[in-house]
Amino acid sequence: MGRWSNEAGWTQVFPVSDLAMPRDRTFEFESIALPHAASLLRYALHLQGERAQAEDLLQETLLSAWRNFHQLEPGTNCKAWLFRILKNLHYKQMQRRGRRPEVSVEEQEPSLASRENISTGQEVREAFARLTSEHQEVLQLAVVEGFGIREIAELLELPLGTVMSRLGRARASLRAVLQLRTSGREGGI
Amino acid sequence: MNCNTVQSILPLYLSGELKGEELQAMQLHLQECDRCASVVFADTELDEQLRAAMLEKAPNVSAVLRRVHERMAAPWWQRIHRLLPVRVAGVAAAVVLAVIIGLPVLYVHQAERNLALAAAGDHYSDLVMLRHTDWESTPAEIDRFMEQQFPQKKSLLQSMTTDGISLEKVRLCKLRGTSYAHFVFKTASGETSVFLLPSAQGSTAYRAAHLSDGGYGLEVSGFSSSGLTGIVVGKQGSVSTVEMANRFAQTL
Repeated sequence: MGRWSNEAGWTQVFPVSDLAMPRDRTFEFESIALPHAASLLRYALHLQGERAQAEDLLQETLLSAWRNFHQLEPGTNCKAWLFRILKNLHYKQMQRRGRRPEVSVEEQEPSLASRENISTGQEVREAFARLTSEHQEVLQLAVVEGFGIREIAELLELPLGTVMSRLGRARASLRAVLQLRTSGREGGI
Repeated sequence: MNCNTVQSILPLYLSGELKGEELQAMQLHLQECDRCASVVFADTELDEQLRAAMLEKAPNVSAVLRRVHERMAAPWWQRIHRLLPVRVAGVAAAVVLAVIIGLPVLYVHQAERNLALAAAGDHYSDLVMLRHTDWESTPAEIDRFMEQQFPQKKSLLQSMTTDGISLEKVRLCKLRGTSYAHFVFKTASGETSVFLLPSAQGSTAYRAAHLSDGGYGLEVSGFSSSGLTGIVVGKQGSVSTVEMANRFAQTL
């Protein structure tokens, strides 16, 4: 809230809209928000698929975050806040385009196997790319970006139990794909 | 804790979110159950493999960050232009001018009050973001500027540059065809910007409005007098913008 007063003592309290300039927190924003740009772009690439669209989404996310940086309360997880902004902007984009965000059908749970053979980074990335979009999303958020289950549930607006079971199935799927590739390689395929 | 329970809360354990008694029970079970321990080991190893693979090649964000920095450093009216739909931005710019030209408007609508704050973005952009362009800063340059832009107001700066206040630089700004001068004064406790432009009003009366916004750390005071109107923008607590506005108004 702000306060107007003239020299005659007239005052009126009013709210300040987000059109007002940000406070002098540029350095703070650059220090704690911008380092997450690569993580945000990884997630944007997952959501958008196309590099150019993902970069546009990242740019809009960072600018939106900068405009609203004063709303980030001390102690809040900045990375989770940024991911929520990105997710919301993506959702709005999908709505404008008349599309719903992609929701894939959960695939059948593969059987739990013993520990997989060591795979190269490229093999793991290829195996990851073969997972469903939902499985990729929870694995990326939990394993790659390090979000907690509760944070993911809040971000994806899903019940905690759904996130946990989806994450369990995603790990099992990734393991199954990696094993398939390993057995195929060993079998000379 | 049995094996089924371990399976159900395993994601919480792997993400480090399991606490207290549940964590102790889980750890105890893993010591006793080889099957569950091997599952945890396999999942942990899988996670490490995936994390390493995905982070091996970080996506290049330099182009995006460059564009973001450019937008962050853009003058306030450009930010508003991009922030709002085009047709609204035109209205917004007009409203800002209305605020600067006719201070009584300040007392009327919420939107104008907010946009008066946005006008102070010029101050923010130059002083905080350190954008230095087109400034006249040497005494000779400033004298020439005053001669060209304010030939009838030569005493203006003399009255202001006292009591530890000095003029650091000035430049002519343009907003949609309308010119106004942006002065930056330096005081012992900080810097203060003054925006001045000719007014169609011939009134010799002045009024000073004072805006102080604790959320943004800036305060703005406006004045209108003898064919000139202006806004004084300063850091809250470090300068009395209303005092400066009053002094300007009395001088003018």
